[in-house]
Amino acid sequence: MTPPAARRILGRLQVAAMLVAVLAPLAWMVLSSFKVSRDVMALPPRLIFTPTLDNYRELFLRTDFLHNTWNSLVVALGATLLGLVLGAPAAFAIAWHRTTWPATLTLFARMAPGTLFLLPWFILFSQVDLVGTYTVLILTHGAITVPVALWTLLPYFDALPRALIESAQMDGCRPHAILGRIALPLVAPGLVVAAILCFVFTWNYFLFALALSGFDTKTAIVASFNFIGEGVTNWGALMAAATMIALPPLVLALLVQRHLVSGLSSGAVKG
Amino acid sequence: MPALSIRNVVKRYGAAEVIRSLSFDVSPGEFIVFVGPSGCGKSTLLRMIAGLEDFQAGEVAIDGRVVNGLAPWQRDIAMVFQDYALYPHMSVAANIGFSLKMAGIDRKAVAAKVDRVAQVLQIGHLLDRKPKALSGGQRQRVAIGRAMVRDPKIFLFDEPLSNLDAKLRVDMRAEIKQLHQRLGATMIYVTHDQVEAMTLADRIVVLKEGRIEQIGTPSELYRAPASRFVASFIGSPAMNFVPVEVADGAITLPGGERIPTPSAHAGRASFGIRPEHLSLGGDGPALRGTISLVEPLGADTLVTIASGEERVLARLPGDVAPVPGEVVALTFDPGRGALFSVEGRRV
Ligand SMILES: Nc1ncnc2c1ncn2[C@@H]1O[C@H](COP(=O)(O)OP(=O)(O)OP(=O)(O)O)[C@@H](O)[C@H]1O
Ligand SMILES: [Mg+2]
Repeated sequence: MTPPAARRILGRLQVAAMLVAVLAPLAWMVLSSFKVSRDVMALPPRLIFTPTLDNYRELFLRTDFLHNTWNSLVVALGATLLGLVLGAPAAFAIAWHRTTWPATLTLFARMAPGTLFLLPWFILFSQVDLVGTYTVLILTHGAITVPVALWTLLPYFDALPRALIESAQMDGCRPHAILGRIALPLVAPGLVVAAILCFVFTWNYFLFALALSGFDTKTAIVASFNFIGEGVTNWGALMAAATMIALPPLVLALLVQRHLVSGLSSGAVKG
Repeated sequence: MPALSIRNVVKRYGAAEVIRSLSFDVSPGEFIVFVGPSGCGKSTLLRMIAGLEDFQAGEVAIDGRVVNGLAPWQRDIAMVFQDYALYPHMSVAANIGFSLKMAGIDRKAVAAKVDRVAQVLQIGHLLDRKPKALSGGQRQRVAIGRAMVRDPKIFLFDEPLSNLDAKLRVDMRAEIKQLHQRLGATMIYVTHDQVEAMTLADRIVVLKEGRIEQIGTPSELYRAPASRFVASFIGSPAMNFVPVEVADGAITLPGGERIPTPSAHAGRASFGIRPEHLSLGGDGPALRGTISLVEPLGADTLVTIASGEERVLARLPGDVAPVPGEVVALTFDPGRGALFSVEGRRV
């Protein structure tokens, strides 16, 4: 047995190591976005430098980044909505009937590499002339959000007392009314968690957006790769874009961190 | 026409037969209580009537209409659940009015009905609260109000009082009884508390392992139990059973005393006699033994006598004060006794 004090110090060190591992790249990204390109690549990295807003000026004034961000927002919100609209009833049904195989199936779909779907989808959507539209991006990103929504919500629906649902049945509710009036309001914290996770996953998803977006619908994450040129890369601008892209999920996570932690760990909605 | 008619219903979970071909009718306005030990199928049967549980064979008819396969919301039945199942995100008023709202009744009419029900149940001052802010007894009232407001064909209750403390239970029991008298509605009530069953029921259905052991009024069950199981289940403290020999129209008690019996049974049997039918120092046949325990209850005193392995409990008037160790004879009227075969049937 390690003495308690030693164990506590060990614990702190672990946390510190994790924080460094997680935060160092983030800090590097944010700092770099305020440096001129020369400083970004400097070795060893410079902690003291003259900050500049040039990268952001370039990003917003000289490129379509604002429009790309708007595209990202449309796609992420649309896909999040789609994920919740399809995932929540599915999770409710699965929890109620206690059959888990449909949920497992969606998990397989989620685990499978996206490249697997990409070609068939490209062909399919080309034929109906949808490639390059918001629709196709929202639909394909649904493949990511539906399982996320479903699996996040499952424990919340599972925790609903069955008598509550049965009571609603006795009170004259058909299934859609039970979902809408009883189950969904009671899993509201779960909906928030699910919505955020869906949003973050689709916001950051690159592959489908790269292949299926058009010039007008290009998302921020795809557009940011324009800064990686052949031979020369505009590191500063790239880091500014990356910082902007990282911002919304970060803000969302901070806003609801308490929900997020308790939601991810327990899913209980008792009380 | 019966308000409810159950015909040969069978419910299986996999291979386990939980309800075994069971039939009975309920008259309009009757208060029926299902009793039986844990796991005998009371809740299952109730839920089958409610439409919350499907079943493999038989028929359930409400007001003459077969409702097999109808969803709960198509049956016009209300149910009060054991743990109340109030909607936590709705106020008391919204909880009570929910079914009316679902039925598309306009807001004013709902509010009026909710108010009337709240008045009857004396929860008018709680209407704006959430269920979380209510005591157990108050929650129970809301749950009952939620059922009442709909004026359903049948009320179902699944152990509605089991989460309340003893005092509140007695109060609520009386209120449910008054409610029944006032509404005149058909009610089916599940409990494993025989006192609740006796006090509330017009007729009691005693269930055992998915079968009906006996149906009858409380006094029929008390006076003429069809089996040792019913005899031991109904009445408190429970009936005493002593091993006896029966031959040629006479019962031989453990002490050797013989009493006449109309029974044609012969051989070993159990003789049942209720604690309240034993007295100290009267006339007639007697069970003898040494007093091993005296439990004064105020109005009554419970006295246990031991004779070898056998224990016999008597409920005696509170003013007698027997002393442990004393050897006594507990006398009884042979007509009050009941004879059961080794298999537990009344003989
Ligand atoms: N979903 C289920 N799957 C399998 N068996 C079940 C299921 N539900 C109930 N049972 C079994 O059916 C039998 C009857 O259960 P039921 O709940 O009706 O009993 P009960 O009389 O209400 O008991 P209690 O007084 O404990 O509430 C029990 O043996 C129980 O184990
Ligand atoms: Mg039960």
